[in-house]
Amino acid sequence: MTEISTFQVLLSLVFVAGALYFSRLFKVKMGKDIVVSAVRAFVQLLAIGYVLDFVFGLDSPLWVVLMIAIMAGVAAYNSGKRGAKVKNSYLISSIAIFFTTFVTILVLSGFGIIPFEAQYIIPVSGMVIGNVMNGASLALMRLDDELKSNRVRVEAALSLGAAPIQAAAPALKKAVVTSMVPVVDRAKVVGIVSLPGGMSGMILAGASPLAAVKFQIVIMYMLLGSPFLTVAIVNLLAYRQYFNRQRQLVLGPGN
Amino acid sequence: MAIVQFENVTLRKKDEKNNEVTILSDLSFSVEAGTVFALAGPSGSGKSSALRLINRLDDCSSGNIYIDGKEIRAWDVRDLRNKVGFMFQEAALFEGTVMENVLYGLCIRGLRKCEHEPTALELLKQVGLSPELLHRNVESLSGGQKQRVNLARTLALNPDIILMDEPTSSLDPAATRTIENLIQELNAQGRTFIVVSHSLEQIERLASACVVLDAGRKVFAGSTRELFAAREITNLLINGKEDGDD
Repeated sequence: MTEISTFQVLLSLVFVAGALYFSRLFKVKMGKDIVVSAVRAFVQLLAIGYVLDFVFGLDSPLWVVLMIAIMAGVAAYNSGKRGAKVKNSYLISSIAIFFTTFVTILVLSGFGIIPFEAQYIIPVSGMVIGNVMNGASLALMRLDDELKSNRVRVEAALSLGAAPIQAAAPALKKAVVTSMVPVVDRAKVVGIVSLPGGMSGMILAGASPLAAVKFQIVIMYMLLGSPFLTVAIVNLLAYRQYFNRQRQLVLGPGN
Repeated sequence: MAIVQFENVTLRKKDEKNNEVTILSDLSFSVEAGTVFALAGPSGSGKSSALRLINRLDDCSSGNIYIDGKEIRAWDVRDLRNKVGFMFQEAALFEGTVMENVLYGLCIRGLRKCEHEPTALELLKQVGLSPELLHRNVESLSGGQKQRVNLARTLALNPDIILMDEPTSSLDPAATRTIENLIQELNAQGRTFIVVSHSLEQIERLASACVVLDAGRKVFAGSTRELFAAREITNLLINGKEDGDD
């Protein structure tokens, strides 16, 4: 692959300048956000570049696991924060994201699709974690919303003798559908509307398009399946936070 | 014999700002078996909250509630909800057909009656609904029909006590009359009804006894005849007569 010089990297700031220009032109006051995000992207990517270089150089499974754990931890924190209306949201998102990442990597390396080496495992884990983080956040937020807005129906089901999981079933169903729609839609249009980053990266790095496509198919299937696992775990743990042993719906203060 | 008895019941809850508010204060009354009993009071008086306690949708903060002589917390909650049916203010029907709704309680108990049309038709007959409605989506029903499906769904479990939270608040006079007639018919078969209402006319038509609440406190308990003799209480009900949940 062609090496990009530091000067060329700086030249790409022309796109940021363009964004700033349009922000001024349309008076949308996004200038500060654009600058902050450009600087953050630069610093974060540079930092991860050094970190990856360091970890790849060590060639130690322990460091790979540590790196993945940090990535999953940050994702779980973000997701838990987004779904903070659900009691124990941080714990729930941590269990779901760590478990899904573990299972996905186990399957991929178990089938020999990717070797258990830092340069494969870390980027693929990043894709998994980024993907399931969105699923976990959406599931937490949606379930809370559904249970609160359908309180009367949930309590009607309880009063008819339903167990909490039966009373929450319609809300759980809607939470799963809403969380999974973006994932399923993306899989539907892949290759037509968008060329995924991983595949584009491989082609740019000189791999044959067919080899890149094969790899991308595996990645797409993984990205399709893993959020389902996360959303299922999140839902099964989260709905319990809304019911007590007396089969009462507990919505917290003000409800 | 009292089938429901409240003994010094207090209910406190947290509001949006996490401050504790008293919803019911030291409430005592009893409901005789086989009667229609009214829980009355202006909007926000705590009558719906009191009703929820009888089905254990909430637990009281202090005091005791006895159902059929047994303290409510000593009941297995599933048995309690078999004995005490709850019909909500809004027609809280589930998405789906009339049959799916009326058989819901039986279906979730695993009684293999989810598809049992004769049972569903018998329940529709009890509430005076046409058998043609059986496979209709509940969304297409009128308000009165929805409330009758709601009642049929409650009756499916054959409860001894039926709690009703403003069952006719969103209905026109004709549909209101139909629901009231059903209550009277079912009461004649021996069922006990506890009906939340803020309508004096409805209380007069339906109930033999009532308790009137104001700001969570009992201001009257007695027969309906005694209620109409207590001018200040009827005034409270007339002046505080606003639509809305409490």
